[in-house]
Amino acid sequence: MTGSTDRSDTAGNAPDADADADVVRRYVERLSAADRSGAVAVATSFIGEGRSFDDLLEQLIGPAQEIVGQRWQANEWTVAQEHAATAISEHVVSRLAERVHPERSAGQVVVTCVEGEWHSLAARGLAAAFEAAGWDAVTLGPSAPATHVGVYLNDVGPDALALTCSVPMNLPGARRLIEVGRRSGLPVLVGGRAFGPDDRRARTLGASVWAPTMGVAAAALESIDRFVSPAPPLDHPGATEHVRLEVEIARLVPELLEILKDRVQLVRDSDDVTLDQAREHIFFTLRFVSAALLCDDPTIVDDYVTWLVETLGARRVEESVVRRAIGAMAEHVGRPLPAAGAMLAANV
Amino acid sequence: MTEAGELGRGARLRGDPIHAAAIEQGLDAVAGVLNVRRAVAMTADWAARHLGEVALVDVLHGELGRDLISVTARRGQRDHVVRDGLLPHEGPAAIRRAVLAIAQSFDDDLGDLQGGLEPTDDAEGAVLGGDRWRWAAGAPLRARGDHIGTITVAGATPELPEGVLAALDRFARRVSVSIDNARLYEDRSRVALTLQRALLPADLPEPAGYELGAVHRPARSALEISGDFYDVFEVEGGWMAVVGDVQGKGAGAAALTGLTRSSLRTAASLSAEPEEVVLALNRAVLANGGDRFCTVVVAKLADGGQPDIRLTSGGHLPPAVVRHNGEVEFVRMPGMLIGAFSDPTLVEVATGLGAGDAIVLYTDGVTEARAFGEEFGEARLRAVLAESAGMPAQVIAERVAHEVSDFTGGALQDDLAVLVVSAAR
Repeated sequence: MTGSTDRSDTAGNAPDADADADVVRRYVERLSAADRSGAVAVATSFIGEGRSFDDLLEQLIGPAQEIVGQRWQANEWTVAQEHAATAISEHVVSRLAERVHPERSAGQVVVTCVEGEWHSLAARGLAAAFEAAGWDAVTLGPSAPATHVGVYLNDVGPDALALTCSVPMNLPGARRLIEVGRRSGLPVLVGGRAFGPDDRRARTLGASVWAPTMGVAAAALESIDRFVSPAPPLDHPGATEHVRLEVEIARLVPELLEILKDRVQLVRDSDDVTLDQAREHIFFTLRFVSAALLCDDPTIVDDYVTWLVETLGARRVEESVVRRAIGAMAEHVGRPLPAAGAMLAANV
Repeated sequence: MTEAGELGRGARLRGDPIHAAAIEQGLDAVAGVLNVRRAVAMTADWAARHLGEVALVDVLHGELGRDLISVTARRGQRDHVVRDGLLPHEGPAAIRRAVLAIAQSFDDDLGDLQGGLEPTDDAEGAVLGGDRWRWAAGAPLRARGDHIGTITVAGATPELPEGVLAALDRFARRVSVSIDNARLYEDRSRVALTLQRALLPADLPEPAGYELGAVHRPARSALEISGDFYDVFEVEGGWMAVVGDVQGKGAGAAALTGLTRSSLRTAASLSAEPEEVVLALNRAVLANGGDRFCTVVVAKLADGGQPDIRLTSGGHLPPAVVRHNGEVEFVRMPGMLIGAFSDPTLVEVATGLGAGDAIVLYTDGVTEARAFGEEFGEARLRAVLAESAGMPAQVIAERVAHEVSDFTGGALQDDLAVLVVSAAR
């Protein structure tokens, strides 16, 4: 297969949307049956119909994984089902990627997902897209710490670093990777849902390229600067508060848990697991706020609270309870950290 | 602007603010690069952008300082020509001649540069009689009293442009330090191999009847080399799966980890009995001297996925068996720390692994991970495993690591290793 015709296919005659929706439905059925070979068969026939590898990632695997996430969010699937489905999709991607043979080596790119993220599906998909475009791509295992990646980059000396980030609370990890990549003189490509709908977060964090799709990522590698200077320090006001919040977070979480136990019926009984869940929600909320400060983008908090309301709603927690909890957090956090407090308060 | 009365190279450079700013930028970019190849390529790229139309940078590196890396960059071209060679160490002139000979064999266009320059301690320029390149300038790269390479630039204009020589001299003197840093970094002991292994996805064997999954995360700081390890290898009549934890961090722990892994494999080739293997390991660690201990748990899997598993622990955390129906049992057994006693008490226990069941071996980076004054603990591990019943082995391993990292806030504070063996359905 040749990259250029595939790309023009994707851009030009949009394939029949209904037919695609049908393939996605059949594929998700195989995922929900934990039927690995069945999923491979659906994907193989998709490719067999003359569709490109980029299409496979963007029109089939991507939408299917989105449905998987929605089913978990709606409490229809357990987290175990979600993980098993993702593992099957990873298998599908690596199986079908083997069929794509690059004709040249344009250079080497290291692909990783950020620390804190353990699904490597997106990174594997991105690596496969790079391979299809003629690059040697090395995919690191999940949740790679930036310090280790930095050592690795200096040992291996690749031409570019590409990273994926799915959950906005992990964006501080993306910033750390951008810093180590650029310190090694590498252009850094970023992609994934955590970066939002446009290039603003990526630009703020110092990425060389924001790639909304796998195809864009592969094309961008051909034209970006090969050598990049170190990332300048972040100087917007929120960046300082981000650092303070990271330091304070270990103190704030238990304090907030006590406050929410007293004032909000978020913690319904003293059962350990429920307490654990409440603490996790608090912790995650603060990490989203921290990421929003770092990216100078309060919509990160807005989107998270919307998601939290829906997710807890599916588990029979009233929206008013969630909003009250956010309000109590805004008050407590806002005293030492006004920008963080304001971001929370906007969602009460 | 040029200050009156102050002439010479420095003044010319100050009179050319583009060069001055560009030099700082170029130096900044190369300063943090610790990969020799990349540092050399970036240097050549900068020189071709700002000094000449073509730039050739050659640097000696490697264990004996005789490996030559040479990069040619041309203005306006993204791709550079990179060549590797091996040189007799005869000083700068020999380097220059050899580099040009190698370069020429790839690219006739560089033939004009031959013989144009003999680098000294300073930057030097010459007008050439060639067809393509009319002038050339060269500067040595020197560090720690040694000549480590050269930069050569050339152009097609009739005269050497003003300011080029001074800028080349200044850039070469300072970029040498960065390139030398990369050379030193390359030479350091290869502790990084441990990290590389851990970063790349697990490369596990595929024993018939079983499925394996593993996660290994060294501690956060790149300098703290992990003492956690796992291993799976074939033995007579089956397979042996091992997880261990060597006390402490740093080079000493890394050395003992290496000894532990190789002792286990050697011992297992002599006797495939878990208890024998752990006893042999204890002897090896004691014989090694020192005051480091380790813990280890060894599981012997029968050939072809038969349900019998035999386990021996040397002071390690109890493995968990995850039944396909979601039941989780921790297999507790006595067993003393390895390397502490000459005649440790060990036991061997047996358990069964039915179709779809899994056994999970892990280090204390899982159960002793801390957040907000609490440990992750066995109860949370039990809950994750119960939810993971029947999932692929790799997914179980990654889920455990994921839960621990969510618990501690996205980053793992301590080493962690998880090895999962599941019996095929």
